[in-house]
Amino acid sequence: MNEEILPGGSQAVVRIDGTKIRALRERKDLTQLYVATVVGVTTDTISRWENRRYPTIKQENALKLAEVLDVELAEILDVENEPDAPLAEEPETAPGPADVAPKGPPLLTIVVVAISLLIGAALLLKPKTVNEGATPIITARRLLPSHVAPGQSFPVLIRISVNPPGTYSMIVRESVPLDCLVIKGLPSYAALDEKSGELKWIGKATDATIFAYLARPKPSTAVGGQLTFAGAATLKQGGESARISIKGDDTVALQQLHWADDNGDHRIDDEEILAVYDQLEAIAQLGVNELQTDVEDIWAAGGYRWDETTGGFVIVP
Amino acid sequence: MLRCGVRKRRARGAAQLMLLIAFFLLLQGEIVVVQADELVSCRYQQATGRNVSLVLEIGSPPPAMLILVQWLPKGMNITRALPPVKKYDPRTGEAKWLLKQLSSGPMQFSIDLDGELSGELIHGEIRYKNPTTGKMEIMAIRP
Repeated sequence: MNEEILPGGSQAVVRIDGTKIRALRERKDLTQLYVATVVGVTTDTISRWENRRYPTIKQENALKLAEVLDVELAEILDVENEPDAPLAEEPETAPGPADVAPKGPPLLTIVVVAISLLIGAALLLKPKTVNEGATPIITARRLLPSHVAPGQSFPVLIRISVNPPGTYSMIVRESVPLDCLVIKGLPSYAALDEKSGELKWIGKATDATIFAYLARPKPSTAVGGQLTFAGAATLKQGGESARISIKGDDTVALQQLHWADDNGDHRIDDEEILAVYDQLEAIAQLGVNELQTDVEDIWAAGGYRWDETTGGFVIVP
Repeated sequence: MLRCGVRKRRARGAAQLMLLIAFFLLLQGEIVVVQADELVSCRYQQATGRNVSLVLEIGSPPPAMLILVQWLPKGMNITRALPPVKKYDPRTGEAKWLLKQLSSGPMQFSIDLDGELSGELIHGEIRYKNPTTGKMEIMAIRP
C-alpha cells in the first residue's frame, strides 16, 4: 500500500521575480489563466505578480508557482532585492465584501456570537472518527491488464484516494512507455510530451479520484517484451504538499492475448467480463464502447485467436 | 422493594444512555442500516409446457453488469426470447443474458421453446459483482 503523509508547511512570504515568472510562463506556452487555476488565485493576481506590483507572495503560492512552471523555487525568487523590513503579505485577490469588518447593530453581534458558541459546542461534543483531525493519508494505485497485444487499445486506471476526504490541488505525472500511444485521457490531460512520453493532469482530488487513459502499443512492438509504466502525484492543500509515487501495477507483458482475457485461455469468461465491466463503468466517459463491444463479442462467441496477417484478433466459436 | 426501585431507575438510566449514544452514532453515520433484502433475487413465474418465465429483482445500488444463466434440456431450441438472449448453445442447453446499465426494480424474462418441458427440473443462476464488496456473487435459481 502506497501511503504518504502530508508534512507541515509554513506561512512565510517570499519575494518573487515577476520578469522571470513571465519569461518562464511564456517559454512553456502557459496562459495566465492556466497558471492561476493551478496556483488557486485569479488571473489579475498572476498579472500583478508578473508586473512586480506586489513582489512579495505567500511561500505556499510561490511553491505552487514553481511547480507549475516546472522549476525550483529558488529560480523564481528575487534574490537581488532582499526586503529590509518584514515582508507584508500581498493581497491575492481584490478585497471583497467578506474582507470588510461587519458593522452591525449589537443584537446581530450577539446572535452571531451565540450561533458561533452553539456550533463550537456541537463540534466539541461531536465524537471524533479515527482519521478526523489526523494527517491525511494518500494512496495512488495504477490498474493495468497483465498482458496486451500489439496494436490493441487497453485502459489504464490510476485511483487516488485521500483519507479523510478533502479538496486537494493535484498534479499527476505518468511516464508512458515510448512504444505506447496515448489515445485519450479522462479527465482530459493537461499535457502530453510525445518525445518523453510524459502525460500530465492538473486538477482537484477529493476522497477518491480516477485518472484514466486509453493506451495502444505500436503495431510494430515486439511480442515477448513488456511495457513499463511509472508515475507520481503531487497533492497540495493550504501550505502543505506531498509527492507520492503511483504504486500498483507497473508492467504489461506484450503477448498475442486479449487484455481482458486475464487467465490467457483464449476465452473471456463470465468472471473476466464482469471484472472488466467494473473498470470500464468507472471510465465510461472515456468512450470505451468499442472496447466493450469487442469484449462482449468474444465472450458471446466463446473464444478468439491471434491473426498474424492482420495483426488483430479473430473471433472463433 | 427499595432495591427493585433502584434497579428499575438504573435500567431506565442505562436505556436512556444507550438511546443517547445511538442517537449520536446515528448522527455521525456510524450506524449502517442493514437492508434485509438481497441486492439481487430471481424467481420462476413459469417453468412448464413450452415457456419459461422469470422475474429478476434488482436492489440498490445496482451492479454494473449481471449475467443471467438459464439451463434448458439439451437439444431444445429457443423459438423466442424476451429480451433476446446474448448466448445460447443447444448442445449444452445453456442460455445467457448479459444485462448492463441496470436500474433498481423488477425485470421480466421469457423463453419460448420448440418442445415441451416434460417434468425436467430446470434451473438457472445469477452472476454479478457486488458493487459494495467488489466480490463476485453467484446465486442459484430453482423453481
